[in-house]
Parts: sequence; structure tokens; C-alpha cells
Amino acid sequence: MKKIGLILCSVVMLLIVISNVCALGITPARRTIDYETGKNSVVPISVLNSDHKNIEVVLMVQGELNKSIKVSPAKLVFEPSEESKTFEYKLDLPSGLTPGLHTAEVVALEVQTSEGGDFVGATVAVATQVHVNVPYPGKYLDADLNVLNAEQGGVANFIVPIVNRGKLGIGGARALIDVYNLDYEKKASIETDLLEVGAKQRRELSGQWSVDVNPGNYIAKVTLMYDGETLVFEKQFSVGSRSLSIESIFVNNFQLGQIAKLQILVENKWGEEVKGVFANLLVYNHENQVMADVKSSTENIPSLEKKELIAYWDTVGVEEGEYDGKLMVKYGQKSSDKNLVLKVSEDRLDVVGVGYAISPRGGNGVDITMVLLILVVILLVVNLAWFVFFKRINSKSKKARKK
Amino acid sequence: MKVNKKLVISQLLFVVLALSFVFFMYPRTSYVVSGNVVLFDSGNVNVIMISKDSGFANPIYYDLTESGRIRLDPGHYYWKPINGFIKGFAGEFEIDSNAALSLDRGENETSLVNVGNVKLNVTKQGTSLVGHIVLDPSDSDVVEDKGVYTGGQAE
Repeated sequence: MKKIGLILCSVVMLLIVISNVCALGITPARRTIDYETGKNSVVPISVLNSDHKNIEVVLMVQGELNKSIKVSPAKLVFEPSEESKTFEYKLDLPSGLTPGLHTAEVVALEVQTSEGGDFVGATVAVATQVHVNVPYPGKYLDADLNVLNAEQGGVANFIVPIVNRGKLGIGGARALIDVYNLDYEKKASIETDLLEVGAKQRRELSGQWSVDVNPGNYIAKVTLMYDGETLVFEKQFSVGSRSLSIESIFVNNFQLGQIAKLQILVENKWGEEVKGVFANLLVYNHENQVMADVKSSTENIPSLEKKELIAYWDTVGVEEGEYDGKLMVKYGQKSSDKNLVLKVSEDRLDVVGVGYAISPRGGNGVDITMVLLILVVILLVVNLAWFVFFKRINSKSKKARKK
Repeated sequence: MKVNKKLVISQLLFVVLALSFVFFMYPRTSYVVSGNVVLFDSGNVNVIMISKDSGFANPIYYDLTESGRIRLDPGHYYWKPINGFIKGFAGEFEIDSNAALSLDRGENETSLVNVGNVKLNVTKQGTSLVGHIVLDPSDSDVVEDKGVYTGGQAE
């Protein structure tokens, strides 16, 4: 690790001459691989030059599995016209890795060649992580807990995502979730469904709770039982979380090429004033890059009240068309997000929500497997009916012949 | 023998009609993944069911009548098309994660911005100080204009 630090430092000191913005991306940010003895993988990775600059990127490997990874090529040179370049790393895993997670990182470090002066400043590097899961002998479950819609008087969903990291399948996994307040007084007990989990498979157990407690913080103690084994863990969650909801977005007197005034109506659903609330609208161009990053001023919203946040979007250079957007209302470390489509025309800006989830259940339709099954059953019944019909005719004709 | 022929013909007819019915009523759609957005062609589908679990234990239903664009967090997803009559076979797609950092130099300060789509754990190397910064997507932090800031996916 020290060695890598020294290399990075010397690379920086020797080569970097910085301009005003430098940006670097790598995708995917992580690749998770299930270990198999003698398995070699070749993984393609893309490095992104989103600022379309003349840059050089050096690729380095670090971490526990660094000796098992070979990168090719070791350096990428970008012309301003090149937005992304692909390289490969070859993963040659050693035998005898212990069960569990083993990691490494391939780091792409931007080194800019001298263009404008001798200023030496900071630079950025991005890493694509390599996660190798070595299966445990026997049965082994990894689990987490997500609590959704925990509002007073509502029905909360407890979802326990489980991943079988063992070599053997699990016949049945079920979780018992006990809810405690922060003084460890038990408030509720929820039982999830029972599911089979194949080796390396991911499933989700779920249970529901009619929330009959006051808003606040609670502890969920999860006891996961699978084929005679037990896994116990705890997670804190909130009921009636300090949440703000985005009610509407208005745009009046819009003219393309001018500054648009966005009026974002936000409701505080929490029992206390929420301080330091602001809206952040991201507008994406057709290459899915952020073309506008607009922030409103910061406001305090009193308990159970609505307030308008005002943000201004400079539309100079924006063309007519449909753009994806993401509106985030931020407060403290939290954020309420809404995906949008902005339909921009010369004198009109329509903001519509996208990807609306229909809740709680939506989309009527019979499963295709069920449709095919019904057809097979109908065919069987028809055949059976024909069979009975002919048997009767045959027996009648036999009787007639005897007579 | 004549009756048996009739039986075979009527059964064949039934199978052909039934399969034609399924063929015409089957919900058809195609999709394109671009960054964090999945764009579904509505075809004869009005709802898309999406889940992170292959068993669709806790699916989310998206109404395609408003827009076929669905913005999702990085991850592996399973989906089924629905058109009110039939729920189609399951498909799957991947939203790739992107770790990206930008260093913006203003007149007085330098900001490090997470311009990717995953939460980043940023470490600083190359100076005597070694630090950690955690940045959510599109979040930024004022930093010293020295050293190397390396961002890798957090969590």
C-alpha cells in the first residue's frame, strides 16, 4: 500500500499539469465474481473521458488479489474526440482461496501532459473493484434488512434480501423479525414467508407490519432460520421518517433561451420543523450527461406545512425536445428524489413525472405460464371427453351387433 | 376411422387457434439501457413489473402509458411485461455502475464532485495527509488542490 502511495505521489509530482476541470469515470464500478477453481475471466472495463480532453490514463492494480490480475493495455491515451475507451483485465484466480470475500481494485489515474503552465495540483483517479466470492462449504446465508413505508397507521414492508454463499442449496429460509423501541421493549413480531434458496441464488423474504407505534427510531432484530441454522442481526429503522414530499413543480411564462423560474412545492410530513431544505434539479442531455445542475435557495419548512422552493434554470443554448431530469429535495444527509421528463418547447416547459410506481399492486394479467397451463388442461379435458364419448359409442355399437 | 379423423382435425384446429390467441395477445416490448435509464417501447404493453429478485417477491410496477423511461439505480434487474390480459415471460437487464470524479477549480477553492451514479469512498494520497471523503452521486466537497483523490464504490 505504501509502495502504491509512493508511485502515485511520484507520478503526480512528475507529470501533472492541471487545467480548471478534470473528470474521469470508470464503468462498471464493481464486478462481483463467484469463485470456481481454475476459472479465468476476462473482464472488459470502460474508462470515460466525459470532459472530452486530451488526457493520459495509467492503469494500476492494488489490493489482496493484485497478483491475480493482469491489465491490458496499461495506459490509455484519449483524444478530445474520444469519450470512452475500453481495456480488459484478466483474472487468474489462485486455487485454495479461503471462503468469503476477496477483493482487488484496478485504478485508473489521470495524468495530464503539459499544456498550459507548470502548476502542479490535485488529480483524480477512479477504481473499478473486483469482488470474488468464494463459496462456503455447506450452507451459508448473507442477509440484510430493508424497511419500506414505515408510517404510523400504515402497513410497513420488511424485506430481507438473502444470498446463499454456500455450495449447497437451502430447502427453506424464514425470518422472524422482532421490533423493539430504543429501551428494548418489544413492540411487535413479524414472520416472513418461507423460501427455497439455491446455491449462489438471491431471494427476498418479506413480511408486513401494521404500524401501531409512535413515530421515532426502532430496532429490528432479525432471526433468520434456514435448514437448522440460525443467523441473528439487528438494524435500526425509523417510523414516520423525517420526510419531505415533492408535491408539484410549476413553471410560468417560460421562454426558451431565457432564465426559467421553477416553483417547487414541498410538504414537510414530519412532526418537527426541517431546517436547511433546498431543491437540486439535474437535467440530462441525450447522452445521459448532466447538462444543467440547478439549486434553489435554502429554506426551513415548519412541521406539517408546505413551502415553495424557487430555482432558476438558464436555458440559453438548450434546444427544444424532451430531456430526462432528476429533482432532489435535500435536507441534512437525506434526500427525496423524483424522476422527471422536461418537455421543452419555444414558449412552454412541461414537467412530467416518469416511472410512476403503481402501488401497492398493479398490472392485471394472467401469467403466461398459467395461460399455457390452462390450454394444456383444456386439451386434456377435451381429449378425455372424446375418449369417454367414443367408448360409449363403441359399447353401444357392440351391443347392437350382439343383438 | 372417419370420426377419429374429425377428432384429430378438431384438436389441431383447437391448438392452432389457442396458440394464435396467445401469440396475438402476448405482451411484446423491447428495451434499451442507456446509463441509468431503461427505455421501454410500449408496444402492446402498459405495465412493466421490475424486481431485483428473480422470484419477483417484491416487484415494483411501472406505468408505461406516461413514459417508457424508467430511471433505476445500478444493479441487476428482472422484468415482466403486462398488458392487462397476459403477464409475459421474465427478462433481465443490468444497469451498470459508474464511478466518476470531477475536480472543479474555482477562483478561491477547488471542489471534488461525484459525477457518477454510485456512492463513492474517496481516499487521498500523495501528500503527508491521508483522508477519506464519502460522496453521494452529484455531491461535492471542497478539497485541497494537492495529491491524488481516488474514488471507489462505497458499500
